[in-house]
Amino acid sequence: MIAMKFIDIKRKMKSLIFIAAIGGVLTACSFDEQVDPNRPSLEGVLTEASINQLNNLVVGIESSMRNSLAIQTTASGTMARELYLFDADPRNTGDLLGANGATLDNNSFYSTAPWGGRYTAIKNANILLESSANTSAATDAEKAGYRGFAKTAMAFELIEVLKSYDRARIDVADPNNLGPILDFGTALATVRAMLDEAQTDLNSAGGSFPFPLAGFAGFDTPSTFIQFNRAVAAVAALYDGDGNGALSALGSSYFDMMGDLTVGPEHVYSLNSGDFTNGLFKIPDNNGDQIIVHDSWIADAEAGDTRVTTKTSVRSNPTTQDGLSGTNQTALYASNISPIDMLRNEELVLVFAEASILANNLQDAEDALNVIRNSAGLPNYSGLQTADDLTTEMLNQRRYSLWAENHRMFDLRRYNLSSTLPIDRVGDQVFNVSPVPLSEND
Amino acid sequence: MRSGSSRSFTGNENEGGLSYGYTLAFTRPWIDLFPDDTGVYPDNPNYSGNPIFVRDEATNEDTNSRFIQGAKFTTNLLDNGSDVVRLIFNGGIDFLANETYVYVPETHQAQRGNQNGFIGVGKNNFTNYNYQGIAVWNTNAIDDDLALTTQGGISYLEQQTDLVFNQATQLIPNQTSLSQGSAQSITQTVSTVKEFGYFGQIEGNYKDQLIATVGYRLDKSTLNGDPEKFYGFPKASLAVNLHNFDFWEDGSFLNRFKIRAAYGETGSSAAFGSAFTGLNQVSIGGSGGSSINTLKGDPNVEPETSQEFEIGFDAGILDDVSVEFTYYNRDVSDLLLSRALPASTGFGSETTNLADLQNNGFEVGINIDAFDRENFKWNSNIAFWLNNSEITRLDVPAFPQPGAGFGLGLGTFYIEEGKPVTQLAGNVNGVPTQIGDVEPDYQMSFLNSFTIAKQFDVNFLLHWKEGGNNINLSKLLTDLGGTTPDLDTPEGMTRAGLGFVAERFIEPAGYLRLREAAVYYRLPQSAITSAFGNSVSGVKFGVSGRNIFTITDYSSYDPETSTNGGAGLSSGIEVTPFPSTKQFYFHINVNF
Repeated sequence: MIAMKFIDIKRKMKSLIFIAAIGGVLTACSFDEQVDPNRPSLEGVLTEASINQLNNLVVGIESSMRNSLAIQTTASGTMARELYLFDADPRNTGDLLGANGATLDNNSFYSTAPWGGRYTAIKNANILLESSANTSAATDAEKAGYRGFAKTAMAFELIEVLKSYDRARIDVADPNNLGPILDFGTALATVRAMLDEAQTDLNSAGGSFPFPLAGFAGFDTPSTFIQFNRAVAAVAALYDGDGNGALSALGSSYFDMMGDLTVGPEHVYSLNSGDFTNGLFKIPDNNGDQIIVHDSWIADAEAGDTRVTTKTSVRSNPTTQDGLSGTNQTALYASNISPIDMLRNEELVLVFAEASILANNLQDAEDALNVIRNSAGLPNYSGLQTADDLTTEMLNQRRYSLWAENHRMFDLRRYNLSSTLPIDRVGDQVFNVSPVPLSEND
Repeated sequence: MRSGSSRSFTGNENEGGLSYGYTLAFTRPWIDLFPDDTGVYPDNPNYSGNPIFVRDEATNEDTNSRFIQGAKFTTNLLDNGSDVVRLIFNGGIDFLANETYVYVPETHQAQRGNQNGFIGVGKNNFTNYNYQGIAVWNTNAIDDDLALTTQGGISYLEQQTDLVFNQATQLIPNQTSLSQGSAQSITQTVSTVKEFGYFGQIEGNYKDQLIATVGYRLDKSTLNGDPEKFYGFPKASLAVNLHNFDFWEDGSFLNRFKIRAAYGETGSSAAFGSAFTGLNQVSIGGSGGSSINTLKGDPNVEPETSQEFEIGFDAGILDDVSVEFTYYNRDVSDLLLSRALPASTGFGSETTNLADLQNNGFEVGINIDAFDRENFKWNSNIAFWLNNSEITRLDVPAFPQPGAGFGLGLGTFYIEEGKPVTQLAGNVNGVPTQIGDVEPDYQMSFLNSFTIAKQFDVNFLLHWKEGGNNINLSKLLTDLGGTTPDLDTPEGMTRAGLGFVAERFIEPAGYLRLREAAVYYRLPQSAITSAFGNSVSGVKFGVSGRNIFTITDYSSYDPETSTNGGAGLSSGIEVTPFPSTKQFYFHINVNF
């Protein structure tokens, strides 16, 4: 009897323990709303953001303005026959040169990466605009500073989209309600209006910004950043064919015909954790990953042009890929942490020259072009002072001063001169615009 | 247990000079890449890396330490002869510490003057635990002719991951420790997944003539947009053993015949992170900041649910042959797919419920006990199966599957309504067109087991895949590098001159492969007893191998390939991937 009771108790205990365990599990099993453990949520910065969070978005904008810059530059540079990119991706020497009847693919990296990089920066700018409008942590002047910076950066990025794709989508703040893709003229008009709004904001942003900037040394206060805003406005006016508008904007920028041609904000790079390096730097004389100068750029240069010897170097062993070859390689950047100019004074001098031609101030144009020529070790311009001849000279100076800086393809396209580019191999074609990516459902 | 492996460098890599496939596609075979007397490796004039240097000096290693343990408690609540009620509680824990180490010396051709060496150290911890509580009630009804088993319970599963990756570049010469790199970067990714469910099932067996099951599950998961919402999944099955009925006459031909049908629903949740929209860490000029993360989260993401119906029969023919046949039809609703979003939104992709998918097919198995003599036994099993799929609903315009290809110019998986989910598509005259299908026409396997002279066990398994295409981009690389063997034939020159049309890279990828073969010798009982007495009950030793040979027309080195790993829509595209290995084993089994 005693033995049976013992067994009974044991059985009851086991079932009690089991029921208790089940009960414990059932009550413990409600799942909370999940939070991303690996990153801050977008929702969290859109309302009541702190100054710290707003400044993080500024850093995000400045950083993402560098995204895919190398691909954008080498793709347009290849299409414009100013360089080749020899690496393991055959599309760099195939598709981009139209080899064997190829067409540009709207779903390959050369179409998707530049568009994606520019629109990441534009999205970050839109987030900053929404975030700074919905917070009580910043004063009105500080909010004007954030707006002025965000709109200027967004305008700069949209111009880069238009240069590569000839079209752009402007209204992208709501991912579920995208505005249409606008053609060049319509989009550029919106960009110019955006820059003017930013100018108004910067004028009421006070004496200093609440945020740090990395590549804007000398342009990191409202009164100096506004000079960058006007420089971008001058470029936008020029691309819009408005010579007088460009000249007027240049007057409020850092344009200085007699000054240092290298002055201007930059994309900066470093080896710090989380940062990245300059993708246009290539190890000199390396094989298998190199930027080769198109032979015509060397051959067409005037004797003594120092830009040939400072921007490029002769390869010690020749290289060939896919039927293409070249004697020189890039030397534009000294190391993988060299900065890339956003918009330096040299480009503003060239903008002044072109705007002067459009406004029929031909002597001003010739003077500006001589500043460029002299700085490259060349004598003054000795051709005719006509609009056509000066335009040819201006495009030629842009070709050499702005080599491998994502200008040549757009310059030729806007002057309808793309068909004058050389064909390197039988069957190659010249393309002068990148297709809008497939994912845009255009 | 603790295991380690040494891998090498393969796969997709445009710059960097490490992947053997890429390097060898461009390197001319007459270039001498071996080191000189002082141990210095020459630079490769055709590519950005010397493969002999990479083989000798670079490292890619993987170590796993794992602890797995389970426990089960059973208690009888009730046992009065006709009813038995049991409670079962089981649980388990699985802890895996995975460490990875990659080292590329600073003297590598593509590292010098740029990254100056690379060390990558990964420390990845995976903790999984689960438990179940089940109550089981066995009873008999209808004069003991009907055996009923009813069970119900709960289950809980939790998975935690903590992945830390440490990277250092700009290395001090000859140093292999992370501390000796002056540019250091760390990333960490953590995740926690919890799932909880109730389930119940009744199974009845009537005189072994009719066997039926009915069941239901309710599951919730933190992976779903609403972590507290339960999703229900019913199931039912019926099997009829015709040979156990009274009307059945035991014939000499058909002595066993079972018809079965089943219906079941299951669900599968989205990957961790699919519901979140967040900001990534970026840095410029020494300041850290936030940039939009390109994955757009769907806060309302739901699990994909599949409804499968299958029907078939098992038959016993003569005495030694059995045949099985099954036809199935599986509809997946709310299929979870990643698709590229318009980049102008600032997002690159989203994972959400986008489509419905249907799979159907059939499987046939024949097992023959050909010989059963004292000194020779032979059992042969032949299986045949095929599957077809179709996207039956797609809410968005057709799109290339992200990460499953290299664009419509070179060939990619393409999700399109009315087409198989395994189709490969490319631009033909500017229009995305189907150019192939990864799904094979059919597959067969042949498994033969022999016992010879009582002590020898021999078996081998052949696998035959008929049809199915791959996209072979390795040939594109070797054409570009000028090293494809047939480039001086008219056929090779025509192909190389085609430019980048997706049809150029499609190839049939059928094969016949000897998957496994083994020979074992069992020591006769007399020898065991005389050597070991009664402490040892069996000794067996032998050799076996896997992937021993392959017969195929496919022109690259392995038709069973994938550049993105084995998961989902990624097999069938190759860019000099890591090949399936031939493996040989030596076995000793001792039973005590």
